[in-house]
Amino acid sequence: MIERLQRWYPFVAIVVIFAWSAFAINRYRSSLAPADAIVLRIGHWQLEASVREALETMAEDYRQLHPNVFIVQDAIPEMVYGQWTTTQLMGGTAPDLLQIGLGVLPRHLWLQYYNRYCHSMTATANEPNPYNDGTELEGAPLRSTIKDGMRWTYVEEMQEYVAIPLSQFGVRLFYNRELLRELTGLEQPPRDFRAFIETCNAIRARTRPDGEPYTAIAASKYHLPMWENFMLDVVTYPAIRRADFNRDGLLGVDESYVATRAGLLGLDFPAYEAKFKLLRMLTEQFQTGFSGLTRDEAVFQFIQRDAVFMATGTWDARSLQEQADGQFTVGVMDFPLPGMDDPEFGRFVEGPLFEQPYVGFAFAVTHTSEHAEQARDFLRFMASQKQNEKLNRIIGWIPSVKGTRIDPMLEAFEPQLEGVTRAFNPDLGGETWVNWMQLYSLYQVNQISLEELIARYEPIYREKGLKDFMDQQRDWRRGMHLQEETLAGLRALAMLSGDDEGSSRWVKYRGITSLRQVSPEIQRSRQMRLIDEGPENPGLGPYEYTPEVLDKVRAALRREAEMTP
Amino acid sequence: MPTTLYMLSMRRNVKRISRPVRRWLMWIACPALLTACAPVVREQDPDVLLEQAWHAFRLADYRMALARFERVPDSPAAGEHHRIAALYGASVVRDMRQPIPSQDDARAAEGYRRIIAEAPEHALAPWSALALARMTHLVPVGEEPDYERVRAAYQEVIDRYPDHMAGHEALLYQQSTWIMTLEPEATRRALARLQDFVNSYPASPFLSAAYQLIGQGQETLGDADGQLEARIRELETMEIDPSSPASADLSWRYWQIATTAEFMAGRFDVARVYYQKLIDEYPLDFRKFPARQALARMDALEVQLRRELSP
Repeated sequence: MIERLQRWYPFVAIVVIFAWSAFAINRYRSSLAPADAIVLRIGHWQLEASVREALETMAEDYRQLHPNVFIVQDAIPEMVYGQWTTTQLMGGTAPDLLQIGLGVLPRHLWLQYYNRYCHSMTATANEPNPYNDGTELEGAPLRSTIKDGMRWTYVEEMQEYVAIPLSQFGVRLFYNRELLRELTGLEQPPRDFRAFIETCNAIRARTRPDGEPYTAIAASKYHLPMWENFMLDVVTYPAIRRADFNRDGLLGVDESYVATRAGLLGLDFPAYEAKFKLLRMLTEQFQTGFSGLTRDEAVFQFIQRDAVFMATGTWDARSLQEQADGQFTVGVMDFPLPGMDDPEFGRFVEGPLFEQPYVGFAFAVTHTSEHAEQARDFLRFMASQKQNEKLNRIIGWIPSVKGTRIDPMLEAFEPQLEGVTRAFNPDLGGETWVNWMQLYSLYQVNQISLEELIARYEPIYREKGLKDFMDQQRDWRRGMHLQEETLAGLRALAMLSGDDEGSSRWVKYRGITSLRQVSPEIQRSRQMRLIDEGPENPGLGPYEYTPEVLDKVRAALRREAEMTP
Repeated sequence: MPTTLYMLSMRRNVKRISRPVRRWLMWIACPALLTACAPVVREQDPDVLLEQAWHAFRLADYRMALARFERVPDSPAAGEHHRIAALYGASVVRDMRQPIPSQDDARAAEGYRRIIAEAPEHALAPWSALALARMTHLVPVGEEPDYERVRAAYQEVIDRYPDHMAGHEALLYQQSTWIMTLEPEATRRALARLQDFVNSYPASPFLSAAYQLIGQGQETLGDADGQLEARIRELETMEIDPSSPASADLSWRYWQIATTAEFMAGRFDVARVYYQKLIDEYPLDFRKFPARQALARMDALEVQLRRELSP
């Protein structure tokens, strides 16, 4: 008997555990909603208590209008959200509403998930949001009520909207008001870069009660890119004139490489040198060993009043406020930029740095949803002017909907909508990128000089970079195959629906054909010629006047003068 | 004899399995057997099958797409149109399924050819011809297309369907293979052909794309004025899909025309118009600030040049 029990023990244990789990989950779910209710599950990676509270409030408000609808949240830690999403989608057990776009999954995987497992939101985006009735947004298509026009959730490859974004995000410099006053006597931190660095030096000269010096800026490897993207890159803008060969106003990684090979750019380009010098001045104000620290360690240092400044985003604003409550006041400021009159860097500063209004916290409706229409409606509800303002007020974020009011503390996060763009893009991928990261890290912590950085990296980038550049070109051809598949599907849909040639689907079809399939081979040929032969006008970039152009302008002015009586 | 021996050995093996496990297996097997006894439910409507198949294709479920397409001809309600549509769909799946090594080009091409041969008047015949040409152009990653063959394949489509959208598309692809050579002579020939196309088909939905290619060709030839004119015509003839933010966004096209006018053609008058359009129509665009800079830069340059020119 015992022998038999031993033999069957594992099976019995599995069955019992399975039955218990099923019972426990069922009991838990039953406690959340009555048996005959419509239950919408919403999956996200925001573990902040305020997010859960806000979604609960939205659910309660929605239930006032739809008494039979209950919302259940699946808040999953960011670390495992990618795996969780994958298993839920593939297993057919995904929640009705799924937060999308987390970087732990590569974009091509998200694309597949949108395509296979999520409903298109295009129709919803193009229809008015009924919950905006009675506001100035009444009758406007939902997409135009969102601050970025829902561009972020429009997937070019699918030519569809896939989700509705509910919040806007931004990055700024946070500071400890009381500590700043105590250590420097300043009520407001300086907005000018040099004055800011002087303030940081003054902070570092002071010692804490334990005798250790204060840290001016709490930072980590997580925080450094924020400083670069929102402050240091302001001086790189002049590079755009040298390398924007396709005239789209941005510096692509391929253009950056081609310009370097053509002798138009390089790490010793004066604007880039300026950026590296600024970086060194800045990192001297960080705590020692910052590049080995994590985000939480830097936050801890800031909360412990060991550091005065820290760069972070709106997502941290509420939790920083709560943790600092009773200890100090959290201030928010713009990143300090070098002035245009700065003797060393001023000539590279042509204006503030442009900030793309970045909306996120976006949700898609999954195919597994038994109540897809209700889920869509709940999203519309949360994306209405009134509810979106309320949702974000509770969370402590910025609403994504136009015409909403924001928390006064978050006003400093209003994006800078007029300014220069960053024009430094060395990420060729592969071995080149690994080499860059290694050398750049050494430079950041003052282990090699700027001259050494340039001398060691430039040859790698120019010569070994060619392989990585060519790999990118192969990816481009792979992309054409995928695009061809999309086009075949789009064409079939248009034909199957009996659309006439002027219909939206055919317009999309021809647009993709022209932009993605016909032109890229020509662009690629031009790039290869630039690499092999250099620019037609040596030393001149695409946004610089050639002597011939200046002659034409002179001729036009002469004609104009002759015609003027 | 071998079958009998096999059956006997199977029986012995089954007896070796302990009784409770056998009972479990029976429990599992019974529903499976019952399911097998159920009537086979097959969707019969060929239009529904086609719709499901294309939906599966768009979701990258190639196996289901192929299975649905292959079931269409068996449907009693299927007519000739359905048979051709299913053959085309199955060929597309075999031609374009991912990953690339799983594609069956030979069978796909056979399917396309059958459509052209058996139903030359069918709406899918021109698209089948274009698909055959595209197969020669879209070679596996790491290989270079045989451009002579590619051009000949496109020419077949153009000759066979000169007035069809597929024929127009083939012409664009064909001319792009000449323009990409960046050789002046080949580019001139392509420009002549494209100019002939825009003159002959002023209502073609691919008109804007043709002007875009003309602009590219003029750039190669160093004809800045021609390039500028082509870019403007490209914009003027462009189709806009208001439901697509990418299609409806003309900001980068304004920027492209303005910078071409300023830095290549020396046409500050045109540049000013398009920089200003960008500023006015796209107040949130990242090029707004550089557009303002450009307006100020041109003004300053003109003041300086006027001063130089004044006696």
